[in-house]
Amino acid sequence: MADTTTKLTTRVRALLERGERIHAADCRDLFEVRDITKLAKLARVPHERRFGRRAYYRDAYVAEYRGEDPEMFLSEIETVAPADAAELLLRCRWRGGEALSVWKERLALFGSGRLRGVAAIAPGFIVRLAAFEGIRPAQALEELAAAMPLLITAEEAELFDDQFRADRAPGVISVDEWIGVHRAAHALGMKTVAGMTYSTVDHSSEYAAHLDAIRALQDETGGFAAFVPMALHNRGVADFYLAAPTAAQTLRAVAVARIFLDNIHHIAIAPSHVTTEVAVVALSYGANLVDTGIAVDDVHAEEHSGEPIGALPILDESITVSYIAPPMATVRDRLAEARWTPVGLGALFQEHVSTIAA
Amino acid sequence: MSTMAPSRKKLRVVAADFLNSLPLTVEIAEDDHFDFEYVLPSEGARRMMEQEAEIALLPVAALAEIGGLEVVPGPCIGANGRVESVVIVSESPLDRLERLYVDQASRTSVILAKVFLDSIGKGHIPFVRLSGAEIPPHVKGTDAGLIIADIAFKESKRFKYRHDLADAWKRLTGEPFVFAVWAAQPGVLTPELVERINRRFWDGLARKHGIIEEWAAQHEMPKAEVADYLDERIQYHLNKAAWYGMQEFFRLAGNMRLLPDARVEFAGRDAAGGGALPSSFGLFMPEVVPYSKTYGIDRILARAEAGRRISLYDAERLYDEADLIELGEVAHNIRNRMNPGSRVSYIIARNINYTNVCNVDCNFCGFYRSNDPKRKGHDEGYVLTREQIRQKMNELADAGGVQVLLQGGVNPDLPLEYFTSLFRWMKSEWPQIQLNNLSADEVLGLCPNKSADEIEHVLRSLREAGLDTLAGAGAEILVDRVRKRVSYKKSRSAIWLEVMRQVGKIGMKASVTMLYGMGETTRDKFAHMAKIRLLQDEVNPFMVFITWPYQKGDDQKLKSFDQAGATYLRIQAISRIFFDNIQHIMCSWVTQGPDIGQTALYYGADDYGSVMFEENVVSASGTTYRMNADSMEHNIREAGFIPFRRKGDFSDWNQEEHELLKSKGIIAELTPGMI
Repeated sequence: MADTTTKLTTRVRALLERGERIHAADCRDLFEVRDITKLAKLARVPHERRFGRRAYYRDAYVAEYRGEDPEMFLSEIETVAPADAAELLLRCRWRGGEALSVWKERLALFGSGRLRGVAAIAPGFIVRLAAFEGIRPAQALEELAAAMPLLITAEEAELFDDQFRADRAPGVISVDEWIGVHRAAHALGMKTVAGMTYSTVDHSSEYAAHLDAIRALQDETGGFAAFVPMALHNRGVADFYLAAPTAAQTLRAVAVARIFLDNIHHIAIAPSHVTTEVAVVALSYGANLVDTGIAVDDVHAEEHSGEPIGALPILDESITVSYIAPPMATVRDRLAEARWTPVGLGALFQEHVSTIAA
Repeated sequence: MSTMAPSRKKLRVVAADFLNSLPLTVEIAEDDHFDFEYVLPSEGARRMMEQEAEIALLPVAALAEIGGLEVVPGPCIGANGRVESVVIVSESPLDRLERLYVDQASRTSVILAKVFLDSIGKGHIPFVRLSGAEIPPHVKGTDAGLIIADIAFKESKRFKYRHDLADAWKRLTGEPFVFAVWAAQPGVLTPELVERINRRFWDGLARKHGIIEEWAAQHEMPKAEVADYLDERIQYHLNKAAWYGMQEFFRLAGNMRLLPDARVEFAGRDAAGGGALPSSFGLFMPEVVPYSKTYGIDRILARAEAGRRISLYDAERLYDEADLIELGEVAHNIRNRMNPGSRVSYIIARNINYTNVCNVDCNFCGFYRSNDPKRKGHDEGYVLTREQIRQKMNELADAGGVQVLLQGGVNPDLPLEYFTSLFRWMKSEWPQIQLNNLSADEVLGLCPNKSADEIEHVLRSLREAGLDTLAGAGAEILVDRVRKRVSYKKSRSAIWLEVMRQVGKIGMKASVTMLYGMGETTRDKFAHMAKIRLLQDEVNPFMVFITWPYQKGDDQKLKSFDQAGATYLRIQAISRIFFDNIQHIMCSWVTQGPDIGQTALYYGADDYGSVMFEENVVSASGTTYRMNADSMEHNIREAGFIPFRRKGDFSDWNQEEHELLKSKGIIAELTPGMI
């Protein structure tokens, strides 16, 4: 196994150093490499080429709209948003029964606030709103985007594997629908975020196939500004640490994503999924953006969480841990302490990517 | 990294008041430009290590241990052949020696003895540390003694065999031996200062005859003998040959892992390595270029990975400059060499906090309740009953536990008999469970006089009652400047180390810890590690090192620093690289959480710590991570390692496999207690 790993990492390093692409079969094998340090050293090649010692963090004030009076909501968040926030990232969830015209009106209001605002909307929101209105998702997307800048998130990407989705996430939109929304957004000139869920029970081939599909779509549209690996947290299990991916899995997913996704600029990591500390450590494994805008509730599949692994012979109490995205200042401090140069990055990937291109 | 610009009005200068150092120091002691103090060599080294002195007449071993210091060209204390003041004495010839008693006051001489004995095939004989005066009575049969200074002058002639180590060095290398040089913190020395020190040195030499007369009178020694020593035996000039001799000593000691690889930088050079020295003395200046230009981070890491020892200064540079992944990789490779087999151990153990009453009042502790009735929370103090302890021990036994950590506060109402009785009872009821009880400060709480003899007596009593190992808690940062600030009443570093010295001397084992993040400097962190490494060299008390950051709770006023998980991984990795003489590194998932705890397995840790039944000290600050055995094994496996349950004393870390790998030269041969 050691020999196989050495051959694999040597081959992949040579490809990376020449700026060439990694094959999907190698991607699968990289997920099998146990030594995360080896992966980190490979991921460093494309990471350093792009970012050096810079580490980005989202300097947007993130708020979730839960159906409150829109004006009151906007007034409140503008009051509590820290002075150094570059913009507002308003997470909007589909709750059913709300027409496109209602959302357009809300978003137009949110977009007229004192701070620059962006609405973070999941592909499932678009699909469900379109179905509710009897229109194509692309049309719903276009009309909402006219009201306020949108950020189409990675939510419900899960794994592009039918069996996985049927077993563990039957309520989410289909792969075709997810890809369709992102493709439509890209056609409208929007930059969106791709993602993948990883957990304790999946297989390397499923991860590799998923990343391959993301990379292919990016080749086609060039619209993904970032990719975020998302930890599947299993709240149905008493022992939290058996139910969530371990740090080794997180760092492995981050590193392989950076190695494989040569056409996506940012590899993001969400503190709300993996703790702030692991998120900062992940910067040494290929991530470059600490994204505080992602909440864990968006992506985990609570009611389809599988069975607990192993008995609990010693602890006499169950543990529930909820990670909370840290404030910007905390992230900034942690990045500096970890010897990175913190760079604030608002939610408007479009502008950022344009800047890079320029 | 520490550079010390001379911001004080007077530079703090220290030196030992040995006979051989007086010509270098008498004039400086009287110079108003300096704040001069005579101290023991070990105290001088401590002050330079902790940056409490700018300049010191420093033994060369300390020069290498600290690293990064600048040497004043010109004067030194050396010997080009026989010196008479550093001598191995015995009643048997060298080839029959089986043990060497050494003076714990002189690390340079001890290392020189080790190098010499190794050169004649006797490098394996054990060294036993004593104070100088204790050594001569122990020299009999095949037991030899290394005696130095006055004791060497007065006692050496009465032994049948005498081996002058400077003479032996000359015969071994053809070069003089340098015992000490003037060393300064980086950035302190200027060409003018170098010139001043040299002028004082020449003026001091001119007073040599006065020194001889005064010393002979004070120490009741023949004047001719003192004069011979200063005039004929001591070499005061750091010339080319002495320089080569010093380099050769560093090379040989480095090869034997007795000292870090030392690079000596001379004062007065400009940034490009060119000379900017006063020319009036015609000082010898070797062709050296600045340390930082030739000794990059990659080289420090490569040499550490190859089994070389790193200096305190190297550790600082790794902390400030090294890439996290590269640090982790080297630490992991060293861990694999020292503890091979891709295995990670953990233990089923529990804490029992037998009392929360404590009279030490640490600023960072949220657990204790004061014994002072006037203090808030006094009425919340407790001492567990035997029945309460029985219940907890039974829970541990039922879960297959093998170790208990009985730890509380320094409760002045609990005498030694309380503990000996408790330990006897625990051992008789649960003989399968090892007792890893009490911290150094709890032991000191049982020693009113705090003397070495008393500490030894208490430790022996506790061991006899059943104590297996001593817990390493309470080390915090072994720099008194920090200890005074965060815990004024806690033992000072020297006395804490003395407890652990006695642990090692009586053949017990302990763990050792570092609590960082209380506002200490980078230098403080690694001075802490350096002191531990020196003590481990001396008496080998430590089985395992554990570090974690201070956990600030709502009730604590002390501010917290360095809280990032990445910083934790960095420090732990450096600890694995630095501690070439401590076998195991345990990660602290209790404070870091299982995720960083698991990641730490790639940063030098080979032990995942203990399953936690109950923890009241860290959790008093709001940190409440817990894991059971399944979770621990799951985390270890997910990281690609093989989990196994160990005993409290690490004795079952597959000794057979370890011995086999050692015999094949695949892993490092640890030589604990070697010097």
